[in-house]
Amino acid sequence: MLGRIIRESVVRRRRRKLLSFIAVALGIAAATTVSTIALDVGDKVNRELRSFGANLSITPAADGLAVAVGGVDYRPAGEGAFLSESDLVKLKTIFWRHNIVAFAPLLYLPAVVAGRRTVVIGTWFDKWMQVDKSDVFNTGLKKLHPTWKVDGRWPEDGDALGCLVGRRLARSLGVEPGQTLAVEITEGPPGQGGGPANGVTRFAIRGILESGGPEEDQVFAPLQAVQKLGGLVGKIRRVEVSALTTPDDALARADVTKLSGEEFDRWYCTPYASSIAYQIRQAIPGAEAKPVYQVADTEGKILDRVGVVMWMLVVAALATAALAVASMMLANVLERRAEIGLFKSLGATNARVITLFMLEALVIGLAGGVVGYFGGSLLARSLAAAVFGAPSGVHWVILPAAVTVALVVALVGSALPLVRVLKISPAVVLRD
Amino acid sequence: MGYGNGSMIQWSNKAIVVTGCSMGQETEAGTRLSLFWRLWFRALTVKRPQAALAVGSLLVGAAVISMLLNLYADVRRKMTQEFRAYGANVVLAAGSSQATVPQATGGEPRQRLDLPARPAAMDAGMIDEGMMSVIEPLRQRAKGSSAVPVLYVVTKLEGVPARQNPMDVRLPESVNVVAVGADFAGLHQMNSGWRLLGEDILKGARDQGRCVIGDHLASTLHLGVGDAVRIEPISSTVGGSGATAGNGTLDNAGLFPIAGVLSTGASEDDQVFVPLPALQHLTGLEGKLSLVELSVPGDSAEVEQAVRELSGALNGIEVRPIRQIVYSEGKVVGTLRALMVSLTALILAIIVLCVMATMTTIVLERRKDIGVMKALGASDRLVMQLFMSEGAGLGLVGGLVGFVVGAELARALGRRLFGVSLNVAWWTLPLISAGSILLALLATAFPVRIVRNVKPAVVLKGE
Repeated sequence: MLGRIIRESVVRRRRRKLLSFIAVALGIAAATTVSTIALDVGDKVNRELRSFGANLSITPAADGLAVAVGGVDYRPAGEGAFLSESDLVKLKTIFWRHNIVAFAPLLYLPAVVAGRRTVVIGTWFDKWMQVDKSDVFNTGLKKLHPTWKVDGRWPEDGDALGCLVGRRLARSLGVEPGQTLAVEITEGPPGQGGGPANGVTRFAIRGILESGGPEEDQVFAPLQAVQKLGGLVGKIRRVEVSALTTPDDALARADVTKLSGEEFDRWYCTPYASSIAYQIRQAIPGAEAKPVYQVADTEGKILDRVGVVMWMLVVAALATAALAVASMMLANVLERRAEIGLFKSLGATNARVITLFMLEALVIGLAGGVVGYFGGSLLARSLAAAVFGAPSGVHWVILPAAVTVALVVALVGSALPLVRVLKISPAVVLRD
Repeated sequence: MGYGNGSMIQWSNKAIVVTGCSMGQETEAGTRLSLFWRLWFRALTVKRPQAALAVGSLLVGAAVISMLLNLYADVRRKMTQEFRAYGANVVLAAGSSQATVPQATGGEPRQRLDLPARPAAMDAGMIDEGMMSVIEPLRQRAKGSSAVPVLYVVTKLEGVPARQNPMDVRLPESVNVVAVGADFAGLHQMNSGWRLLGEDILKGARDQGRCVIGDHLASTLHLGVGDAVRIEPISSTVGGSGATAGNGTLDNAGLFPIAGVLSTGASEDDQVFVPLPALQHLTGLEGKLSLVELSVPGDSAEVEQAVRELSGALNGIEVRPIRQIVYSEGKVVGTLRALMVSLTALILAIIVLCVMATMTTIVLERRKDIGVMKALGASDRLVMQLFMSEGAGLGLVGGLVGFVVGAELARALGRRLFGVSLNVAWWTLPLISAGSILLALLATAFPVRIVRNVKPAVVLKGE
């Protein structure tokens, strides 16, 4: 009997059912869209902020003091401690290797160009690094600073004599891409075998760098070439790393040495700037890794702000979805008051009536929730493409949440008015 | 008697008696009008779940809009402030046309050149401190901007610990460091991301001739707050590293007690910050600067404007905006705003549908009432007006309450987000109320057409 009633109720009042289904689907779709965007916005803004450049920096632990302004070290080339270039591949073996967006090694060689003292910086421009047998990682200055523009082209990493000149320096020297730059390497480390190439080296200018920052006063050359010139083969002075991090919270600021085992695991498994730095220190022998606090902290604050705004929108969307579903259920129940009265006068128990409506609400909630989820995900994709320029991913985790919300609200939204209607005596309801 | 239906009809019955009994023409219109408003008032106050749901939906809609409007302008302002923590976004440096420091190696045999007295980038020349007076009026016009003049000199530094620790025998006697002459408090304010130990004793550091050292420097020389450093400029003569005499003859004027230790993760960790006048005096570079760091508030357009003004006012000085910061800021704020607007629009669309569905239910529910009113001689138009005004009333209530809820949420959000209570934007109240009423009217406009189809006889019969 119950089965037949359900079948009948599904077949009949199709328009009403369709309307309910649409209302539920729309409400859930809105909530899904907002939730999907909210989950993605943090990642997207994080990547956007990475265009600032490095938020972590690696230096040799045994190093003396750098004579540096704005990151450029003016010390004589051989002075101080170094890191090994071959250790760089270990950066992609740490626990949070997938959060390392890019990095670039740096080696400073003081030189004289056209009578001015300057520093030639050896680095990777656009290198494909072999991580293991199957994995290659593309990194270098180009990836570390995606907003930098080059008039001309980036030098090849194997180019022995190519270089990149900063815009301001190029302007004051009056040079252009295609010309040569006479660079006098004034010193190499004394007594090093393999001999420093003292004397004038003619670099070919491949491009002019426009960065909008202090780099415009520098000359960049391939790392290999600078290493050879300075007699420092295989050595690097610093590594700048750009990593996706989560904003610092109480756990991140705690003293690492005082954390319990479980807390330490949690800290290790969260990509805080400080935990990534810790993992780098473990992976590379003799290295000191530190977050660039200014960049990391500010980024954290910005992400925090963005996150809170987004989650407020999620709450509003959920409230809207709940309202949509609840109003539909209420309308359904009220409309069928006479029918309920009829059931009861025919002898159906309250339980039977409730079961009937609950089953209907279940079906509508389920169907509406699933369809709403997919519709909302699609809408989120196009919205993300419009706002971020890249479509958002599919977040399967939202599906069970969406369906649960739909079901719960549908069931509760039917139950509450149902309970009130059932209190009315059938005679009154039938008479109305 | 369950839902409002019954009581509405009862009420209407009483009304029938009243209108039925009134004979005079002059009272009929007046009575009809007052009946209208009484029915309207009753519709709003009688407990009915549908009306509550409609109000609820409008409330959420109004609250969301209210929150959005309150936050929209503030998001930009506060984000901009946040981006200021990245430090200076405009730098003034000597124009590249300035004379370079001669470092002739000519025909002489190649020798090991000493460290430059000034780091190479600054070899391009120095700025005259008099420039600051030109910047000052421009700076004051741009509210919230700050300017810090800076001088970089490579110096020889020696630690003077307060207490001699016999264990520290292997410390280097002196090291070469970059000394930064600047008002540290000003720099710290500009770079709020810097981590400083010994913060509260920095007040008056300028006057008392104290310094701040980077934490790598502190750990290399085992120095801390309370110790002191002695600084001496390195002479820039070629081939001379022996410009310094024995330790004991260093000028006392180069002695600076340490007020704080700075940790930034960047070059500053290897530097020492001393008051600008002291460094200028010590190195004989009075009235000279390497750069001026500026923090100009505002979005990219405002910063570009400031850059143009400064370039115009200063000759021979290069005004460099740090494009990275400005560009990123524009993108993040733009993204956030676009999201807020589009998602709110989506929420509102659903709310409109919700309200429409609820109003349909309300109208359908009261078919009997409509039947009675039409039977009593009310025109379709009058009944429709009644429902429209009912919708408007619900819209008004929802709008007002929603505004208050939204404003409160925005304030709580503002406090959580920015640590400062945002002001309630009262000018949005009429806007939101009007919007809410319009929304409700729009939502009711479609369902009221049902009124036309209600046939009193059919409905009253009980079909």
